[in-house]
Amino acid sequence: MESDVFSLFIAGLLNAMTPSNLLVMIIGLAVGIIGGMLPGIAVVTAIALFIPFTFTMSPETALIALGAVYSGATYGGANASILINTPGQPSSVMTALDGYQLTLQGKAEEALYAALIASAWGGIIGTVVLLVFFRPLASVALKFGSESFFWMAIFGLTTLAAMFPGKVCKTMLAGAIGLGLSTIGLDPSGGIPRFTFGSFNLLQGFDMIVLMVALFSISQMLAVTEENADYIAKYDRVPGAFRRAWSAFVHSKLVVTVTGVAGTFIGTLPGAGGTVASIIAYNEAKRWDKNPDRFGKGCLDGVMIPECANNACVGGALVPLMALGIPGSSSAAVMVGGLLAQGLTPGPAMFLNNSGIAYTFISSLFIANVFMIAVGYIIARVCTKILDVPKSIIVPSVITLSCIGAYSLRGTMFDVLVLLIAGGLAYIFLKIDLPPVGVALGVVLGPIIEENLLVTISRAQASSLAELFLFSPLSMLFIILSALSLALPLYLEHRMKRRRPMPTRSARAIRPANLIRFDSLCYLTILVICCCFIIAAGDLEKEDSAIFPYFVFGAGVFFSALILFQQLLEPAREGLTPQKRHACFVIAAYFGIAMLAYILVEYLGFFSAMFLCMFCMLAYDQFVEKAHSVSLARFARLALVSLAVIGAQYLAFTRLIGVETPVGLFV
Amino acid sequence: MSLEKLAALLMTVLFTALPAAAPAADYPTKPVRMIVGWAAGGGADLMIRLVEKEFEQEFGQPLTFVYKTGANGAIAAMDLKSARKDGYTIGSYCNPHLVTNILTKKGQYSLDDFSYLAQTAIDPAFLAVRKDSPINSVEDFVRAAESGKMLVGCIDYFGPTNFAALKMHKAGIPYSMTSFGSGPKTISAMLGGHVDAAFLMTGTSMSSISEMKVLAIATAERDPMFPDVPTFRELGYDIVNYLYRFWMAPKLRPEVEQRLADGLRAIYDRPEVIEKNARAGLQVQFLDGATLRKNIEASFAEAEELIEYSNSLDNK
Repeated sequence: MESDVFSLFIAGLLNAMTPSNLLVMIIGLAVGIIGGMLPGIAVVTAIALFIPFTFTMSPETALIALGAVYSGATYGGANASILINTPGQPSSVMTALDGYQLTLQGKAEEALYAALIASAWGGIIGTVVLLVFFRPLASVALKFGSESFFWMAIFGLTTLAAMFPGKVCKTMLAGAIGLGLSTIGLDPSGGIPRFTFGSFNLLQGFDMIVLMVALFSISQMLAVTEENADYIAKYDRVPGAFRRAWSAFVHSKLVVTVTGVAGTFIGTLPGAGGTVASIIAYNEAKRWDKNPDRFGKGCLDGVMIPECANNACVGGALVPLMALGIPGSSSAAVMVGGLLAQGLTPGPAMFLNNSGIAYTFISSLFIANVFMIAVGYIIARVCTKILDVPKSIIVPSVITLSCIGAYSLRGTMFDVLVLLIAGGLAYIFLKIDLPPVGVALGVVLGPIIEENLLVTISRAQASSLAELFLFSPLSMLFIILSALSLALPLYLEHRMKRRRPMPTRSARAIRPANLIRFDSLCYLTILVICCCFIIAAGDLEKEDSAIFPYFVFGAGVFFSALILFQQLLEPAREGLTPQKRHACFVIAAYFGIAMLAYILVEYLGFFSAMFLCMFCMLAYDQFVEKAHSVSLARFARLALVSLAVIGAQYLAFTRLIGVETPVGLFV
Repeated sequence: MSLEKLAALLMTVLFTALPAAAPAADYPTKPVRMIVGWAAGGGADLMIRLVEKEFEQEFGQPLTFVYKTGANGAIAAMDLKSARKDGYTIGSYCNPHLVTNILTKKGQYSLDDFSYLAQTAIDPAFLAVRKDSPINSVEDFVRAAESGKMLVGCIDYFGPTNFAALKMHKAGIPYSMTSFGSGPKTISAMLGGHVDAAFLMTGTSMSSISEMKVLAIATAERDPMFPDVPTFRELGYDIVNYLYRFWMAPKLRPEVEQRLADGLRAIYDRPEVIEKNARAGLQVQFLDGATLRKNIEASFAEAEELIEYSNSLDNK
């Protein structure tokens, strides 16, 4: 059997290496990487957009192209994470933690190359596992019932406790807010509207990607404007970055490989996917590291581990597809659509009827990952140029790009409104020290947790709930892991506190004045909102659909109350300095311009409003902030820059992808 | 018939047909927007993509795709309802979703808001167990359900698979039901032994059909894809449930509606189109707009009854 697979693999390799196949592969990789980089274009979207082009190709070439787009898009998210702290994909959220720190330290290029090498290595691991073990792995993956998915997602959630030592409560509250956001829309137990308050737009719930872009991209852009520097990060090109990234990779090859294998396995579970894989991989690598404190402060391992895990998922997601015909991810499901259109039925039958095509496809993934290093290297090099652009141009460009990205996901202006409001809130979260990553984790894991909780309760009609939930072997494994994962950081924090000298009695006094501070008022608002949701949950028709909201908003009330209590005990803080007051004003100006543009879309058309938004932001920066004298030449230059940026977005989204945007007086 | 009479008849036909044909002759003069209420690459998308080229040949204008996903298609239906009624916005939709969205108050529209152009594909529900299950027939299935606790998986809430499961339950077969939300998840739960049997749909299951045993199919007559599988009707259960996919539009002027309906009929008359659909796992079953509308109206009563039945089970 082994030699059989090997010879089929070699035959597949040779098949895949025709010049036309390689050309299609390179195009697919480039499309995938660039699509993956842009906030708002999900991996699924990138693949779906490419499918019509494959209709005219031969089945083999079509599969090679789709595999290349899939691999490229999964990696591409890392670039934006690292350079501007804006994950291009939900699966790159963890990459931003260390990646952006590296950029701030002037090591952007190393981080980009490390992410690239790790992604390719993850892809190769995934392909090898797919090739050799797909049959046994698929049957292991089937052992995962809804109760195992539930506990696995809870395990992912326990990451929150260890993410930011010293602010456990705030991270947990952020997680509860994310979980709470995921309950709005249709409830998974019966598709009945929940917490939509009569709004038709809320019926579809918040799109996960829109929230991600808001949480990271918009809030980050607002945070950047506040700083005094003219550029996002100081950046000097030091030759040899690729070599340094490579040696960092070789140095950590063991841990990266292990996370790659783990990522492949998580990828085989239908419904888990790259985001869950990267969260768990990052968290576990940090837990078992000799020096866990280095994570989150800019270490290359923190970039390589999540990237390796999420790219390994590509191979993993194809395991159940190849062995059983079940797509392991939504991206794999879209690929099935493309395959069916070709007259190919993926799954076990494919190995019987078209084994040549099946092995050519798997082998092509191997080559695609090797080629990805070359294609990705060129794109990453170009991307670093972003850091040479003054932030006064970057900020409006990213904000307008996020708007068109959010719009294009579901074609509704409501998502743009959600983007801007959630972005503004996320900025406030940053200010009150509530980590957006926590919210993101809640948003990703919330639907998985609730859906599987309800399915398990429903399955328990035919057996007992305790038996399913607590005493099945996989449940027990994840329960123990979750308990460890929760207890360990709490214990460490407790020990750290004991080492510190006890505060004197006066320092521990209760200060009611602390409660009228801005951040305390915010936490109070969160507390009140959570209470409102608990009351609203009581009015829901179906009992099942209220279980998860009760739990989530209850946690929200608990943690916000706890934070308020802690703040009562804090020493008094100084008020706002004049600089900070000014920063608030600048943020409000930028935010106001963006909201104004949102309103104008209906009258002017989407791109005209975006042009105006960009132009006003540039003009505000030049004439108000930098106080340059107003001249026609300056005006013309700003208009030209805005026209170039918005024109490029127009060409890419409307002309190339075919997104239809609202038209007013103009486009 | 004499030659004069024939000529006169021809002239009458021509003259009565002309005014109707004249305004339609200049439709379409620009690309037609196609609103798809489900994700790209899914069944609703695939059905249209497969005839994208033929549409352009027939109408001389291409289709542009807009994906309005969410709320089980209710978002797309609302969008279609409020679109301009000029024939330049049409949609790919399916039932029972059209009626269940009204019944569950997700969609604020009525059946009169739309023109029904043609039904082009069906996706029948069927009952299956995994390959190594001791159950080999519906008879075995019923016996197993009666002798112990049996758990049956469905794909969706208030979709064809759920309706089929509810009907069988209503016929007195005791089992519990769980909906998983998507085809792949239901199939993995069944293959992994987390449910004893499952009601699935052909479209999303064809790739893993070799891993399961199909016990019975919910079509009126035997399905050409499964010639050896009995229908539920043959076995004494009145269960006919399938997803039917169709082309619809906001209420159009009759002549534009006619032009679209005729064009679609011409497209789906081509044998290569049917073959292409079959290769993609889509079963073409063409019905004209009037029959389709009648079927949709008829499905209302059944859906209402089954939703009520399902709610009564939940409240127990």
